[in-house]
Amino acid sequence: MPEIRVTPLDTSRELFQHLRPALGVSGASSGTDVTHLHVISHGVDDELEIKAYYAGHVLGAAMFQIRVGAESVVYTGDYNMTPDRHLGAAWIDKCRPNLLITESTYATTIRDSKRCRERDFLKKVHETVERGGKVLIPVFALGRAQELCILLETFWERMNLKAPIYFSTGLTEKANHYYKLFITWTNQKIRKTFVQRNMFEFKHIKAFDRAFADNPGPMVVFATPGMLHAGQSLQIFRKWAGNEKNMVIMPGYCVQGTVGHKILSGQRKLEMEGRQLLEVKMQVEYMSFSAHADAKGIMQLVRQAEPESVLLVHGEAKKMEFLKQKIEQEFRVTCYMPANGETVTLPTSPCIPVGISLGLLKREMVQGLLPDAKKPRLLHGTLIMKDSNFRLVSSEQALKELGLAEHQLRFTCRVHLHDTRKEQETAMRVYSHLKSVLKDHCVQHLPDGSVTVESILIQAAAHSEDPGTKVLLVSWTYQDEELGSYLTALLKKGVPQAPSGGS
Amino acid sequence: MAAHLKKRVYEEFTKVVQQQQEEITAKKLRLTKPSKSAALHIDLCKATSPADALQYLLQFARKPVEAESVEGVVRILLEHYYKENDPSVRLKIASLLGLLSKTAGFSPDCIMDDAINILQNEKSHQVLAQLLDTLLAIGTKLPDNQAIQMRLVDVACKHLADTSHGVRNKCLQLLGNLGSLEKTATKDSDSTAVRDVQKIIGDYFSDQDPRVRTAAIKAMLQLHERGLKLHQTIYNQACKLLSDDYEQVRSAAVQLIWVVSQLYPESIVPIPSSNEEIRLVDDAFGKICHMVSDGSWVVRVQAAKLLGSMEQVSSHFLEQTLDKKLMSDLRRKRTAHERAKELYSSGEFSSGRKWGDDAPKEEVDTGAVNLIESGACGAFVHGLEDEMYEVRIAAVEALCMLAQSSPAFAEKCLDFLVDMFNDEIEEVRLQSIHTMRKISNNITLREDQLDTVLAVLEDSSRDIREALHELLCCTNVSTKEGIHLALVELLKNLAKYPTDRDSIWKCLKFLGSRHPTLVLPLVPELLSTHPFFDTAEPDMDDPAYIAVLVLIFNAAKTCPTMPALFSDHTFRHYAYLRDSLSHLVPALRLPGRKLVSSSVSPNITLPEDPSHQFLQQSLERVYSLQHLDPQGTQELLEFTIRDLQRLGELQSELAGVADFSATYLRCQLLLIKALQEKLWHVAAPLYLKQSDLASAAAKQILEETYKMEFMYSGVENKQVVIIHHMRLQAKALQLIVTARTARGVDPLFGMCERFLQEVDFFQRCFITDLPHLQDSFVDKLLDLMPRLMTSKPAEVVKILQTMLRQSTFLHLPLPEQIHKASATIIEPAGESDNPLRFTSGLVVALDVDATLDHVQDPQSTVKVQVLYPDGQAQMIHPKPADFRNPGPGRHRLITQVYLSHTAWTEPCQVEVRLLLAYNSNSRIPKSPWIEGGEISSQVETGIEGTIPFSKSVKVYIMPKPARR
Repeated sequence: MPEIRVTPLDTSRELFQHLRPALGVSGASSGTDVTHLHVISHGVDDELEIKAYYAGHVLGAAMFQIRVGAESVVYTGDYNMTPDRHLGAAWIDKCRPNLLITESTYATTIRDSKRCRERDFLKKVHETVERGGKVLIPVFALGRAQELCILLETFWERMNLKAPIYFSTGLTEKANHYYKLFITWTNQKIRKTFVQRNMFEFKHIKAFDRAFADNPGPMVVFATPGMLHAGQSLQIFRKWAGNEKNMVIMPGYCVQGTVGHKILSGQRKLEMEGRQLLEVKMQVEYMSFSAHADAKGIMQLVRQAEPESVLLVHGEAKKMEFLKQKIEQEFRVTCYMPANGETVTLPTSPCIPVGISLGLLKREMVQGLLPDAKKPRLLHGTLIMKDSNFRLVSSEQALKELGLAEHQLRFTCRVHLHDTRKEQETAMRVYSHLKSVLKDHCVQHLPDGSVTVESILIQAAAHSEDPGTKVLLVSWTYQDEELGSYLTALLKKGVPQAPSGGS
Repeated sequence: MAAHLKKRVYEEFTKVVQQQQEEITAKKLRLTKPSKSAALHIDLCKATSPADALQYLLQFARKPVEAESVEGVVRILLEHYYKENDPSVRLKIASLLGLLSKTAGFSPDCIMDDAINILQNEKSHQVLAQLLDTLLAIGTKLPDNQAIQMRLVDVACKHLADTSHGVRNKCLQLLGNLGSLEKTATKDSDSTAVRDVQKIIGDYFSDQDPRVRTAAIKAMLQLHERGLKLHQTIYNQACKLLSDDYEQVRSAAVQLIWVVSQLYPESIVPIPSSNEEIRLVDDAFGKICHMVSDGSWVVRVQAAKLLGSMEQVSSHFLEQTLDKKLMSDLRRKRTAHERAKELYSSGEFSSGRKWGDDAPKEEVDTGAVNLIESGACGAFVHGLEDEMYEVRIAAVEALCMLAQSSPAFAEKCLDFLVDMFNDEIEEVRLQSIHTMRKISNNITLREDQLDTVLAVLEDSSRDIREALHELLCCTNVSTKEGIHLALVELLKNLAKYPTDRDSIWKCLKFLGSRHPTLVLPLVPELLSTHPFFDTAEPDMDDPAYIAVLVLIFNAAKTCPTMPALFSDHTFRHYAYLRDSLSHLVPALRLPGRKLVSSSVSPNITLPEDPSHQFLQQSLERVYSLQHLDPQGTQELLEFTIRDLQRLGELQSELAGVADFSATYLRCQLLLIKALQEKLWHVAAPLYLKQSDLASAAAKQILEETYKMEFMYSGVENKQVVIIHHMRLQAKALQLIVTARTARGVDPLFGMCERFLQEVDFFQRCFITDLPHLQDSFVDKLLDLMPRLMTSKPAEVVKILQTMLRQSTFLHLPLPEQIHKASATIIEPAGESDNPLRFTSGLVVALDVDATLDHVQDPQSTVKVQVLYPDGQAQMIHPKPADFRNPGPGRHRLITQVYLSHTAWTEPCQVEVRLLLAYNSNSRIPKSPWIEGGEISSQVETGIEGTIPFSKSVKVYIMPKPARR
C-alpha cells in the first residue's frame, strides 16, 4: 500500500539533520534561502517537483508544494491570509494535494479587521505628535517594523506632517535594503506606485542617531528589540519614560519578565539594574499586529487547496483539537495533529497514468455523441505493460506489436426447428422473424440461403433423419458472444407461424 | 503513419500546382472586372504562395468595400476558397466573408448557402470556427428571417460534437445569438422535434473544456439578453459551476446565477442537508457572497459588483454580510466597532489605552462557531478587506447601492464605510466618501464615527478634502459636541490648506442650517462673548472668523432666539457679510432692522409668484403690440429689456428665462433700429459710409443668436427654430447692407448664393416647425423662393428688403427649464499687487480654479483664454481630468495654465477668462435628411466660435530678462 509518512520535529535544526543526507544540503545554510514568489515550480529531477506559493507573513515567505508523480504534499510554514500595508495575502490554487500541513498558531482566534487597529495606531501616534510628545515603538527588525514604517510613511505623506520619524540603525536598515530590492513580492499598492517611487525609499523616515533622543520637539522612533528587554529601545525608553507627553506603543507580544510585559500589565514603577527606580509616566499602548493566519484564514486556505487530508502543526494541542474538529466537519477530510516526534502514516491511492493510443480514442469518440461525465463508458482494448510504462491500445495493434497471430474463436450451435417446408422457406421465415425482432441490428438474407445478423451466420438444413425437422446452424465469434447467445435463446423459443404459410 | 506523411507531402506538392492555376484565373478576372474593389482583388490571384496570398488579403481588408461591390467580391473570395489548400488563407477568407457580410446595405442571405456548403466540406477546425463566426455575422444581420435562423441553428447543433473547443465555442455563441425565442416558429415550419436551445446549451455546462463551459454560460446569458426567459432548472446547474476549477467559468456562473435570481426571486429552493426552504434570491445572494472570498480576484470583483444590485434580498440575509464573530482562545470578543459603540453609549470617550480593553469575554460554544461562513455571512467584511483595490471598490459600490435601498442596512454599514476612509489607495477613499454622501439621508453619525471622518480632513489630496466637505454638507450630526468637533477640525483644515476657504465656508453654511438647535448652545463660546466683559472685536478679514460667522448666521435663520446672543460688532459684521458674501449669509430677522428682502423670499415657492407673472405679462405686452409705430415699439422694447434684466438680478430662479428673453428682445430691437436707418431712403450712390450702424447691428444680432443657442442649457427645439430664424434675418440684413455699400456685383453673387442655400438649409432642418412660423420672414421668403432662385442679386436684395420690413415679430415660447451657463474664476483672485516674476522665455504655471454652472459637456467646450497686453491671445484646452463634477449641473475646473512671454520692462497685467466653444451644427435637430448622409453638402456646417462666459481676471506678471 503506498503511503506518506509525516513526523513533526521540534526545531528546524532537527529537520535539517534529517534532510541533510537526503537532499545534500550543507548544515551551514540556515533556512533563509530566497525562493521566487507567487508561484514558481521547479522540477528537481524527473519525478520530484517543488512549487512555491506566496505566503504573506514576511518578505520572501513561501508555502511549498512537493509533488512526486501524482502524490503531493503542501507545507505552509507561517502564512498570512489577510493583506497588510506592505505584503499581499497568501494564495494557493486548487492543487488538491494528498496532504496539507498547515501551521495553527491562531487555531481558536478570529481577528478583527486590520483597519480598526491601523486607525487606532495612527490616531494615537498623530495625537501624541501633535501634542509635542515623542513616540517610541519597539520592534523586531524584520516584518512588523516594515509594515509600521510604511503605515506611518504613507500617513505622514497623506496628512502632510512634518515631525521626524527615525528607525534605529543596524538590522532594520539591512532588512529595509532587502525590501527595496524585492519590490515585486510586496502588495498591490507598493508594486503599482513603484514606477513613481519605491515606497521603501522613505521620505520621512531617517536613520536614528543616539544623540537624537535628546532633541526637543516631537518625533517617532522605531527601535529594536521589540520587548524592551535590552539595547537601544530600552535606552530610549529610560530617557523618555519620565514625561507624560510621550508614548510607547508595543506592537506585539511580550514575554513574561521583560520590561515590555511589565509596563503592559500596568506596572508604573520599574526597578532597573543598579537598583534604580524608574517611574513610568509616559503612556503605554498595546497594539497587536500579528502576521499569522487566524482560524478563518486557515479554513480559507484549506478551502482553496482542497486537500485530501490536513495535518496541523505548530500550535497548542487544545486549540488544534477545536480546529481539527471544525475542518473535519466542514470539509469532510481527515485531519491529523501529531505531537512532536510522533509519526503519522496515511495511505494514498495513487493513480497510475495509462497512455491510450490516439486511434483507439478517436474510434471511441466517434461512437458517443454527447459528452457525459456521469456515465462511465465501456471500452475494448488491450493493456500493455512494458518497462513500467502502461499503454492502452486496440487489440489489433497489440497483436501487431507483440508479433502474434490472431486466433479466431467461433461458437456454433444447432437449433432444432419443427418445420415441414423446404430449407429456403425456413430460412426466409427465420429472416422475417429476426428482422421484426432485432430492429436496430443489420439482418440480411444472403443469396445462398443463409441469414446473417451482423457477423453471425445462420444456416438452415434438413434433418438427416426427420424431414419434418429443420436444423438451424448458428455460428458466431467470441466478440459477438452476447448477441450470439441471445440469438440462440431467441431461436430456441421457436419461430412463429407465418400467416402466409398456407396450410 | 507513413501513409499519413506521404499524404502531407502530396498536399504540399499539389499546393504549388494550385497557385499556378490561380494565375490563369487572374487573367480572366481582369477582363470581367466588375468593380474597383474586385480590381484590387486581382492581386490575390497573382500570389505565388500562401504567404503572399495572405499578405494580399490582409492589405485588402484594410480598405472598405462599397455595398454594391460586396457581392462580386464575395463571389471571387468563395471561388478562391474552393481552390485554396492552405488553411491559413482559407481562414482569412472566411473572416473576410464575415466582415463583408456586415457591410451596411448588403443583404448577406445570398452567401449563406455557400457558407454552409463549404462548412460541410471543411476539415480544419480553425477554419470551421471562423466559418461559424461568419455565419453568426450573417445571422445577426438578418434578425427577422426565421427560416435562416433555424437553418443556422441546425448547422450549429450539428457541429456541437466537434472535437475542437474552438468550434464548439463558436457553435454555442451562434446558438446564444440566434437560438429561436418562440417555439411556435419551429412547429409550423418542420415536423422535426422542437429544439430546446436552452437544453442543448445547458448540456455543455459539463463539457470537458473550460473554454467551452464558459462559452455555454455566455450563450445562456446572451439568450437572456435577447429576451428569452431562462428556465429555473438552470439555477442548479449554474450553482454546480461555482466550484469549477477555472476562474472564467466561475465568473460567468456568478453572472448566470445573478440573472436567474432576478428572474425568479420569489420561488422557493430547498437547502441541501436540511428540510428548510428559502427564497431563491436569498439562496443566490448567499452563493454570490460566498464567491466574494474566492481564490481569483476576477471572480471576487464580479461577485462584489453583482451583490449591489440584489435589492430584493431579505434584510436578515443582508445584515449577515456585515457580520463577523470575533474570538480569542475560543472566547467571544467584541469587535472594535462594538466597543466603540458601547463606549459611546456609556458616555465615556474612547480611551483605547488599556491593554485589556479588548479582553475576550464569555466562552464560546465550540459547536456553534461557524468558521467557514455559510451563505452571506461576512461577505462585505471580506470584500472590504480584500488585497486588490478593484475588489474593495466594487464592494464599496455594492454597499452603497444596497444601503440606498435599505435604511437599516445603511445604519449598519456605516462603521465599515468609515473604516474605508483610511484605505491606502486614494481612489478607494474617495469612492467611500462619495458613497457615504449618497446614503447620508439615511444615517446619523455618532461622535466617534464623526471623529474618524474628520481626521481625514487633513488629507493632502484636494479631491478627498472637497469630497469630505460635500459629505459634511449633508450629514446629520447628533450632538452639539459633534458640531463643535466638526467646526474645530474644519478650522484646522482651513489653517493648513487656505485654498479650501470657499469649500469650507459652503460646508459650514449647510452644517449651520441643518443643525440650528445644536449650534445654539455653542454660540457664546464660538463668538467668545462674555456675560460681563466686552471682548475684543475679531478681525473681520480672518477666514476662520468668517467661517464661524457663516455657521452661526445660517443656524440663526431658523432659530430666532439666537440673535439675542450676538454682540454689537456681530451685527455690524453681519451687515458686511450679507453684502459681501450674500450667497453664504442668509437674510436674518434681526431686531430693529427692516427686512428688505423678506417680502421676496417667502413667496418664492408659491405658484402664483408675482415676479413670474410680471415676466409673463411684460413679454405678452411686447408680443401683442405688433403694429405699434416704430418709435413706440422701440421704447417699449427698451423698457421691457431693462425690466427683464433687473428681474433677472433680483430673482435667481428666473435669471435664465429673463436673460434669455431679454437677449431675444434685444435682437429684435437691433433689427428694428437697423431698419429705421435713414440710409434706406437715400439714393443708392450716396449711402457709402452711413451703413455702419446697420452692419454693426447685423453682426451683433448674429453674436447674440449664437449666445442664445449655446450658452443656455435646456433650450428646446422650438426655441432653436426662433433663434435660427432671427439669425436668418440678420444674414438677410447683412446681405442688403453689403448690396448697398459694395461696388460691383461680383461679391454679391456669392453672397446671394450662400444666403439662398442657407434658407434652403433652414427649411430642411425645421420643416416640421414651419407651420408655427406663419406670417414670418421665412414663411414669406419660402413662398417667393422659386422667384428668388432665378432672379438677379439686385432684385433679390430688393425683395428681401421689403420682406424684412413687413415681417412680423415672432413670439418666443419660454422653455420650461432654462439656465444660463456661467463661470466664476475663484483663483487667481486678481487682487495681488505682487507681480508673478519669472524669467522670460521660460514658463510659469498659473493655478486656475473655477466653478462652472449649467455647462453641458464642459470637457470639450470650456477653454481658458489668456490675453497679453500686446494683444496676443492664447487659448488653452484643459485636460478632461481637470474637470470635476461635484453635483448635477455643476462642474469645477482646476487646472494649470502656462504663461510665457519675452522680457518686459515693467510688470503688467494679463487677462484670464473662460470661453465656451461651440460648433453651429451640434444643436441642429436631426432630421431624416441629415441622417441620410447629406450633411457634408451643408453650407452652415462647422461654424465654430467661442463665447466668453466668465468675468476676466487680471493677473500681474513680470517676465524678467534672463541673467547672463
